[in-house]
Amino acid sequence: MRRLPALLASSALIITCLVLIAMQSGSPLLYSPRSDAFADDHVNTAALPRVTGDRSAQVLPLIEDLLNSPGSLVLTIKANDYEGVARELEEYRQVSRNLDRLVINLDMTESELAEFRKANQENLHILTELSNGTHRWEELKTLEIRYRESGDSQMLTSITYEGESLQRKIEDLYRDYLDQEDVMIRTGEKFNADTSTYLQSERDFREVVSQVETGQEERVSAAGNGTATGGMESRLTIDIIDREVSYSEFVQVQGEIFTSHEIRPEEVDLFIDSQKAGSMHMGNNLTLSFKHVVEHERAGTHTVFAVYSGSLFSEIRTFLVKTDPTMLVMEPPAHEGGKVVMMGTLRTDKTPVKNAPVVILSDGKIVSTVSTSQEGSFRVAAKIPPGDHTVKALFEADSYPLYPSESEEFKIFIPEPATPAGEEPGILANPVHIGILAASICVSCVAAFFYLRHRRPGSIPPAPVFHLPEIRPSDEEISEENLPSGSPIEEPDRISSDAIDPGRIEPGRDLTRLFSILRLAASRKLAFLHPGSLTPRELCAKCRDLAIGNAICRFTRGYEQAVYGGSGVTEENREMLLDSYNAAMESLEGIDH
Amino acid sequence: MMKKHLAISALAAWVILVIGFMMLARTLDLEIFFVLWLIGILIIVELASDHTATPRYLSILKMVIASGVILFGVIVARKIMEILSQ
Amino acid sequence: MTPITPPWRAWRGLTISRAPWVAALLILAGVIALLLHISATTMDYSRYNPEWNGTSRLFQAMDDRGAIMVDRLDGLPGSGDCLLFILAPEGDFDAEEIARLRLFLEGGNTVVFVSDREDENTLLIGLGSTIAIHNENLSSVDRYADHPASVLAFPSQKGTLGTGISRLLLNNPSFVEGGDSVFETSILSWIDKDGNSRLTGDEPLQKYSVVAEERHGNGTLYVIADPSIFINVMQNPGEGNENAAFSDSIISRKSCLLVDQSHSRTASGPLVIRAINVVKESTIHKMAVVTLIFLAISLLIVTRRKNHD
Repeated sequence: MRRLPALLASSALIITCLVLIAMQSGSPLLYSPRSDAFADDHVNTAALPRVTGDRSAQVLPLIEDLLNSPGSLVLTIKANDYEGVARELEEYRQVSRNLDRLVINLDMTESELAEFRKANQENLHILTELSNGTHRWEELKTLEIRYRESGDSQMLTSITYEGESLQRKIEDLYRDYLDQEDVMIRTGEKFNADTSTYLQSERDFREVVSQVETGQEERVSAAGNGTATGGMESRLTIDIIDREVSYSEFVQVQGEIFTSHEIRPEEVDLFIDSQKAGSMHMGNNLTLSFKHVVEHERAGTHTVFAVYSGSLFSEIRTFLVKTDPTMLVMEPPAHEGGKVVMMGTLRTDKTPVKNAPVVILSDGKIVSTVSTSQEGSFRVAAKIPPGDHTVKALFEADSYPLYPSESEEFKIFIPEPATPAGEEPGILANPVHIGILAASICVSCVAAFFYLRHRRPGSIPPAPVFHLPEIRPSDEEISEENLPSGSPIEEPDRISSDAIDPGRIEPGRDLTRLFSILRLAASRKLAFLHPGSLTPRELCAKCRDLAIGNAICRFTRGYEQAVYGGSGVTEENREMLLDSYNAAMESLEGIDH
Repeated sequence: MMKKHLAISALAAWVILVIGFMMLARTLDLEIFFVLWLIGILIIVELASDHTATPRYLSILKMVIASGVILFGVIVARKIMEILSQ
Repeated sequence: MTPITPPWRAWRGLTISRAPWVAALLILAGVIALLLHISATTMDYSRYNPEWNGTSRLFQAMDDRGAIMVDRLDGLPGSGDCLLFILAPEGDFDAEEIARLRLFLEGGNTVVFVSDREDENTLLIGLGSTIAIHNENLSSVDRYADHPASVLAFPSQKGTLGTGISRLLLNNPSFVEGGDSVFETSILSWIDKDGNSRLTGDEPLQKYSVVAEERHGNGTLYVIADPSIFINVMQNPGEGNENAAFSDSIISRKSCLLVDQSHSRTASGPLVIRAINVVKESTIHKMAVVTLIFLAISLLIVTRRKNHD
C-alpha cells in the first residue's frame, strides 16, 4: 500500500503546522511595522504615533509672560491698586499653571525649565504675600490715623507692633525675591526673552520695601520711646528658648506678665507672623508658656509677639526656621493584582515627615500622588501601562522647611495583561467571561451542527422535471442523501427493503431523486461506503463488473446527458431512463432474495 | 482539471491573496487570516458541492468548516472579553 | 437550457502536455520571486532598498533630473558649476580624493556632504573646513513622532539652502559645529547624555545646528548632520513634512548634479543589483547584452532546426 506512508507524512505535516500555529495563538499578531521600526541609524516614524510639532512655540511666549508679569504686578502693588493687583495675580497664576502643565506634558520635570518653573512658583508666592502685606500695611496706616485722632495709645502700640512684624516679613520677601533672580534671568536670556522688566520689578520691589521701612520708622518715633511696652505698671515680656528650629521641633515661647489688674489668663494671645497662633498657657507665678510645632512654616525668619487683652503688647521676638534635608526611601515596587504597589518612608534625620505629599513618577510622568502617614510612611498602588519603566518617588517640599528629596530609581517591567484566552484561570475567574465563552461556543457549535445538517433548497441545480409513473421517492430516503458521510453505517440500514418495492412506488417529480434512490439501493445491496459521495460515473464504474452494471450504467449515462449535458428529458431517453431504472432496481431486488 | 483541483487552486489563490494584502498592509494577523480563510473555504465548498453527489473530500471539508466555525466562536468570545476587560 | 462547458473541460485536450506547462509556470513564478528577492535589499540607505530605510525614492527623483553617478572621485572637474552630493559615506577618503574634492570645491562647485559620523571630520579638516560633526544623542521636545529620535529643525536666519522650507524632520541626528548655521533645532533641545531619552538636570537646553554652510574659494560646502533626512520614510510627503521639498531644492540647485557612489552607503546592495545597474547605466553594456540575447536566441533556433532535420 502506497497510501500509508503518504497518510503518515501528511498527518505529520498537519500536526507540525497546528503546533506552529498553536504557539502563536496567545498573541496572533505575527508581524506589524512596529516590530521592525528600529534600525541602527534611524527609526521608522511611519510606525510611530504622531505628536503635534512646534512645542517650543508654546514655551517661549509663556516664559516671556512669566518674566513680565512680576514687573507690572509690583508696579500695581506699589500704586496700591488692590483691584488691579487681584486681577493681575489671577492672570499670573493662570500663566504659571500653563507652564506647570507644559513642563509636565513635555516631560521636562527635571530640566532647567523645571528650575525656572520652581523659581516662578516661588515668585508667585512672594508676590501674593507682598500684596497681602502691603494691603494690611495700608489698613494699618488708616487705623493709625484714626487711633491717633482718638488718642488710643494702646491701639497705636498694637499697630506699631504689627507694622514691625509686617516690615520684617516684607524685607524677607524681598530677599527671597532676589534669590530667584539668577534662575529667572538665566532662563530668560537663554530663551531670548526681554529681562529688563524683571530687573525693573526688583527695583520697584526695593522701593516698596523702603516705603514700608520709612513708614515704620516714622510710626515708631511718633509712638514715642516709652510706650513701646505699654507702660511700666503693666508689663508683658516673652522670650524664645531656642531661636533656631527646624522641622517638627517646637518653638518654645516663655513669658511673664505684670499687671495691676486681675489677670484673665485665657486672654494672652500669641502671634506668629502677625497671625494668631493660639493662647499662651498660664502657669504659676504669672509665667506664660507656649509651644508651637514647626510644620508648614517656610524657612527663614519669623516674628513672634504676645498681646494681653488686646491692649498690652510684648516686645517682638524672632526665630529662624532652618531647612532640613529629607530622605525618601522607597522599597522595590511589587506587582499586586495588575497594579504596582510602592511603599516607602519620608523622614528627616530625626523625625518622620507627616502628611506630606509624595509624588510617584514613572518615566518622569506623574502616576500618583499620596500623603504620608503620621509615621511618615506611604503606600500606593498605581496602574502603570505595560512595558519597561523607571519609577521613583519624589518629595517636592513646597511649603515645608525641608529640602526636596527623591528616592532611588527602580526599573520595573510590567508584563502585558494576560490575553483573555479561555484556558487562563484569571479570565475564567470572572463569571461574565465564562458565560460569554460558553455562550459563544454553544452558538458556534449549534451553527456548525446546522451547517452540517442543512439542505440547501436553492442550490439544487435546475433538473428537468418530468413525471414518471410508478415511482415512489420516499422522503426518508431523500433526506438521507445529503447526510454527511460521518454516518455511513446507518444509511444502508435505514433504507428498508420496501423502498424498492415497485408496488409502492408513487409518481416522483425529478430525475435526480431517481438517481438518489438507485444509488442508495445499490449502495445498500453492494455494501458501498459513503453512498452520498458517489457521482453517477463512479456508481457506474463500481457496478460495471456486476450483473446489474449494464442497467445502472445505461441509467447514469442517460442521467448525465440529461442533467449535466443539458439535453433535457426527451421522449426517447425518458423511456430509456425508466427502463434502465426499473431493470436496475429489479436486479438489485434479485440480489436481495 | 477535476473539480477537486479547481477548488484547491481557488482556495490557494484566495489564501495567497489574503497573505499578499496582509503583507501590503504590513500586518500579519493570525486571527484575521483564519477568519478570511474560513470565509474562503466556506464559499468554495458551497460552490463546489453538487446536490446529487457530495464527494468524500467535500464532506470532510464540511467537517473542517464546522470545526472552524467553533474556533471562530472562540475568537469572537476572546474579542468580546478583550473589549470588556479594557 | 444551453449546455455550459465547464472550464475544466477545456483542459481535457491538454492533459498530456499539462504537466510541463504547470512546471514551466511554477519555475517562472519561482524565478520572478527570486529576481524580486535579489533585486531589492533591506540595507540601510541603499538606493535599491524600497523599504522605509532605503533611499530608492530620492534616487528616483535624482535619476529623473538626470543626475550623474560618480564612481571615482578623481574624475571630478577642477572648475565649473556642479553640485556634488555625498550622502551617507562610509570608509575613509584617501589623501588624493580629499585633494581632488578640495580642488573641486574651491573651483566654484558646491558640495553637499551628509553624514552623522564623526569619522568624516578628517575629510572636513582636509577640505579646510571649520565645520565638525558631533555624533551625540541629540533630542528635542520639538518632535513629529512620539520618539526621542524624531527631532525637528528650523531654518536659521543665515540660511541659503532650502529657502522657504519651514522645518526639517530629522531622524536620530548628529549636530554640527562651525560654519554658518542653516538649520538648527529649537531651543528646547538637548544632548541626551544618560540615554534615558528624557531631559534631566545636567543636560542643558540649547539650539544645535544640524545644517551648516561655509564658503571655500568660489565654492560652497554644506554639511548636513543627518543622512536619515533622505530615507524613504522621511521623504514621504505627509502633513508638515517638507523633507522632499528640501531634497528637491538640493538636487535642483545646480543644473549639473553629481552623486557620489564611491563611498556612499547608498551604493551598497547585493552584487546582482549592482550588475543589473551597471548594464542599465551604460549604453555600451546595454548594447552588448541585447546582442548576446539575440545571439543566444538565434543559436537556439538553429540547433532546433538541425534536430528536426
